[in-house]
Amino acid sequence: MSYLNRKMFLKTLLIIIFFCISFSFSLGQNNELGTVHGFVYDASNGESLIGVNIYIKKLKIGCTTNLSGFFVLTNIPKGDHDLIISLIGYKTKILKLKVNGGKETIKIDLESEAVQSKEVVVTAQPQKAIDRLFEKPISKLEITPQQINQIPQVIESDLLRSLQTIPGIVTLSDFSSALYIRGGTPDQNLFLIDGCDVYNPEHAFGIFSTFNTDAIKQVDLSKGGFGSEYGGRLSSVLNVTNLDGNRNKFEGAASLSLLSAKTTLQLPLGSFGSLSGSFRRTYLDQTVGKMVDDIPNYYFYDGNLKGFFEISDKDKLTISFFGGNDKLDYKFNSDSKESPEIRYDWGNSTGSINYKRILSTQLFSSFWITASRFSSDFALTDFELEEDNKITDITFKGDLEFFSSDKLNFRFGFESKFLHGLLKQEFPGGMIDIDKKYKHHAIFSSLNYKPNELWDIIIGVRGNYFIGDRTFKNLDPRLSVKYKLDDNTNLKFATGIYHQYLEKIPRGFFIGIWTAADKYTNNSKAYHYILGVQKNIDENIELEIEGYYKDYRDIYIYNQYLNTEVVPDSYDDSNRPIYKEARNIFSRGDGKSYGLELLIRKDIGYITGWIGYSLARTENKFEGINQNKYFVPRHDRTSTLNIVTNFNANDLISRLKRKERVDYSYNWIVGINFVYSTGQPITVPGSIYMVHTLPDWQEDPIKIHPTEINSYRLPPYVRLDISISYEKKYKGWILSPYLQIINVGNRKNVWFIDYEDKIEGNKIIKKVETYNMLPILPSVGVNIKF
Amino acid sequence: MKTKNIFILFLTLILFSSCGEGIVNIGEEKFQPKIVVEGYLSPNNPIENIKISRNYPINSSISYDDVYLSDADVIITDLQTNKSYNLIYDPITKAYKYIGNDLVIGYSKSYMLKVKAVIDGNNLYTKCITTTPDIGFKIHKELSVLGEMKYREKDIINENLKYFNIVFDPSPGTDFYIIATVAQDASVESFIYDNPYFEIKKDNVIKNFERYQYESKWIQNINTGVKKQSKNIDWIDTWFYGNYRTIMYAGDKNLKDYYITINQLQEMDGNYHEPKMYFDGDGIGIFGSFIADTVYFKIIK
Repeated sequence: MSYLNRKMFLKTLLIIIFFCISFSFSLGQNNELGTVHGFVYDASNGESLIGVNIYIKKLKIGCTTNLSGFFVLTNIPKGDHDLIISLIGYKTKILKLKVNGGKETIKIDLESEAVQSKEVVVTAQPQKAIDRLFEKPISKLEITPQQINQIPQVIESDLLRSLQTIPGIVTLSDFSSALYIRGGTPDQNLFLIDGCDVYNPEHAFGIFSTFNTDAIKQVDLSKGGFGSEYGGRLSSVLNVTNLDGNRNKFEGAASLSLLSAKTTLQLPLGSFGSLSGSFRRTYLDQTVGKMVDDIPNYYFYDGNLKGFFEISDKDKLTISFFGGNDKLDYKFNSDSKESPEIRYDWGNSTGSINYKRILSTQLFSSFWITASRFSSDFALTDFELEEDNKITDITFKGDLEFFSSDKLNFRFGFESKFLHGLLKQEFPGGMIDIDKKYKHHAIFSSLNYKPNELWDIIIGVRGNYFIGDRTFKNLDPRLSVKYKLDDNTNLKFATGIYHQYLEKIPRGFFIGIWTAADKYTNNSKAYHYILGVQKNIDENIELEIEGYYKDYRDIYIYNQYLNTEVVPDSYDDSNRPIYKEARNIFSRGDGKSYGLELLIRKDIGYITGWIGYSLARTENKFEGINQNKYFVPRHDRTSTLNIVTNFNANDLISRLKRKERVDYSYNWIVGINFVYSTGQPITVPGSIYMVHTLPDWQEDPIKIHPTEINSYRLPPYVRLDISISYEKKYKGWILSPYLQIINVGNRKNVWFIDYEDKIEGNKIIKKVETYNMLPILPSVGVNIKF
Repeated sequence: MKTKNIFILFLTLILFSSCGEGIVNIGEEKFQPKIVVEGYLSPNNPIENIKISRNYPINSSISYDDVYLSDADVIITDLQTNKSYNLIYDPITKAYKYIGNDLVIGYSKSYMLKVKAVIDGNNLYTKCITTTPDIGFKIHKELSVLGEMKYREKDIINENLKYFNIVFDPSPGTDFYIIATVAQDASVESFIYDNPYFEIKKDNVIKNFERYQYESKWIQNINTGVKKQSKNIDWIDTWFYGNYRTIMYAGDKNLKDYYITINQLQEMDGNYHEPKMYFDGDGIGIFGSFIADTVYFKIIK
């Protein structure tokens, strides 16, 4: 981009931001009204609470706390008001508030309560559930660690696998934690831990995710239509906030499953702050690995440490670290001293420093310095094969929220990323040496306008400036409109343009490689259109229906013919080819996804959970594939039904027997997860033929010729999982042993198809052989809290 | 009581639906008849082994006697002169050949194969062009490490593994080569069970005998301007004691692309891809060209 173009681009953005600020200030000035701001905390541990509803019923004005637990209520008339503070899982609090026309700073502590208790059902939320839903952005879901832990999982709880139970999110197999959200691929999801990007959030070749569920405070997932504060990905944002640490007392949790042992400890640092830390390690290498020969020596570990420091009422500092590693060592022939060995070591490490300051009563600021690194080292001895794959991301970002009035909020910020991608691969036939640096600068702003209690409009824009081999500059406008149709119905709409500059090369066994838009590939682009309806079926049961359409431009798929098209850039002294560019790695294409999602969710009461149904279609077309015509990708699922429910068996039985009192000194918690989905599309062989691949070569000549790409559907996927945990409290300790059974019905869900030659006389018959996913899989474990 | 019954009914329903087995039934509606070509041209060699056959639906049996088509129209056109030559079917080799002596395959020349055939009542047609490699490729036998060697023999001085090694000159402009090794004395008894790679039992050797006997690998994107390049025969490509024949091929683009992609037909997740082929119309298979050179070596105990 020329200097003049760059200047014009920045100028346009600054004009937009200036206009927004001026507009918000002009509407926000009124000295006759008062303002209240502050933080909301969990009374038991001092953790700031996200998404708390703050509401003045009489005035019908309210807000929710942001990711820092901060809120601002403006334009409150002078006088006495009842401030109602509510959050699911906490006792609703009513504060008497006297407003004198000035600025009030308050600190609110909420007491938690068991969501499954009868008392919660009696305690109706003062703010209507439909109003709580209205506050929530379209396509956004919040999920708590408790909900994650109650969903039956493969061996142990896993964040990404939990999200696979939500409509609009699918995966390819039981062996993958990857998320395909509304037709998008996993590399189109932005993963954030405490504000820091995580590039490959997976352990064990993608079977498990890197997020330790015991360390999580809150998970926010946006399936689309997200605001201008997020960018760089086409499909979704998963924002994970880890625990700050208990500010009141020492607290601990430990878990033991068949796979791993993990612990989370939290402790206060006087009145100054708190510290939390978690560690998890698998131990199959130390148990089964010691007893059985010829299995790979493999383990993974991860841990995080987070410090929260309250410098003053206005200044808060958080320092967070995360690290995780997988280590694999496999000897081909354990009986041989000279046997070749695979050594594979990979992992993520992230660190973030977050400084929050209340710059004024109405202006809240948050600044980050983050660093994220994924690295993998691979070696195959005896074959001279080595690989070093890294991506490093240093980011500076700021986010300012200006609460101008009850009608108008303004948000603006910036993000500067410095990326370094490295791939060095040595193999007998050559060498790959790709070493590239990129910069991605973005500024964003959004205006949240609420002309009256029926409307909520957010207009935003994000300006991207990506510098690599080529320079890209893009403006991403975003719009979100919410409308209260009647006392029991909300209508929501969102649209926006999204740009992505990074692509991940999937590699099966190996961890994928991140690469960026360059002189060979464009940046990718998506348009989102989402329309949703929210209704309250009952005070505690929410119904959400969303229809969406996504249009993708310049998306990329790994070029299956790369081996035939790769071109060297130079030769080394031994005349081996050296590859320095990511040329011909991808096939360019376009795509579209559309669908309808239904979610019935109940978060309060003795039975909680959700029923989700998704009717969806994804079609892509890529140059050189399927004669450039549209086809459905592997992750397309026409219909998916998810039923997730958790209940306290004591409570349920008492209710069925119409008992007045329930004994909560112990609990039997039952979790059920049921999923049905249309079979995944797959390319199958259409015929067999005979050809020798070389002249004078007498090997098996039977070859398979495939049909049209992904034109066959595997049988429907059906799975039922059940978990039962017994929770016993004893002198401040909570002990919960659990049993989980995955695929209770032992259904044989087909993973893929293979073919076997069967020789009968002088005839050869190709027989279909199916490979299935997980059979019935029971596992046990225990959780301890102290 | 009503809630209890609904709950039990609901649980029973999902339990039953989550049992059973997904049945994969690929019908013949996916089948499309194709002309299958297996044809290779080599400079200065006669055209005598162009095999034309047909494909069959999955789950049907292939009989080696019936698969080849004897009544196809098969024509080779020399694209330098645009002169066409009719090939005739040889029932002994089950292949088409040219019996005249006015067609000599040259180096760095292009030839087009056209085939017409009737399969299952369908009139099918295909054509494909190959360009032969340029002159120049040859193995320097005198510079190569051949002869006899013990299995994974080590250098006496530095203890490094020794390898059989081929020194060759590439053809100008041809950057793709295949090294195809056949164990000529392969037997269950001569198999090298004491290898460092895998613990292999006799049953496995019998079951996968051809896979061990025939080993091939390719090298690509070599610097074609440099002569006397060398390539080791990796020990993992030799599974038997005894004599070996190694043919090294300099292949054209058709051979390169088909050879590489036919060996990567199935992804790790089980999905299939079409191999890269250059047939117009209803053809599949390979019509390519090559220059070959052959060496021999022996592994002793």
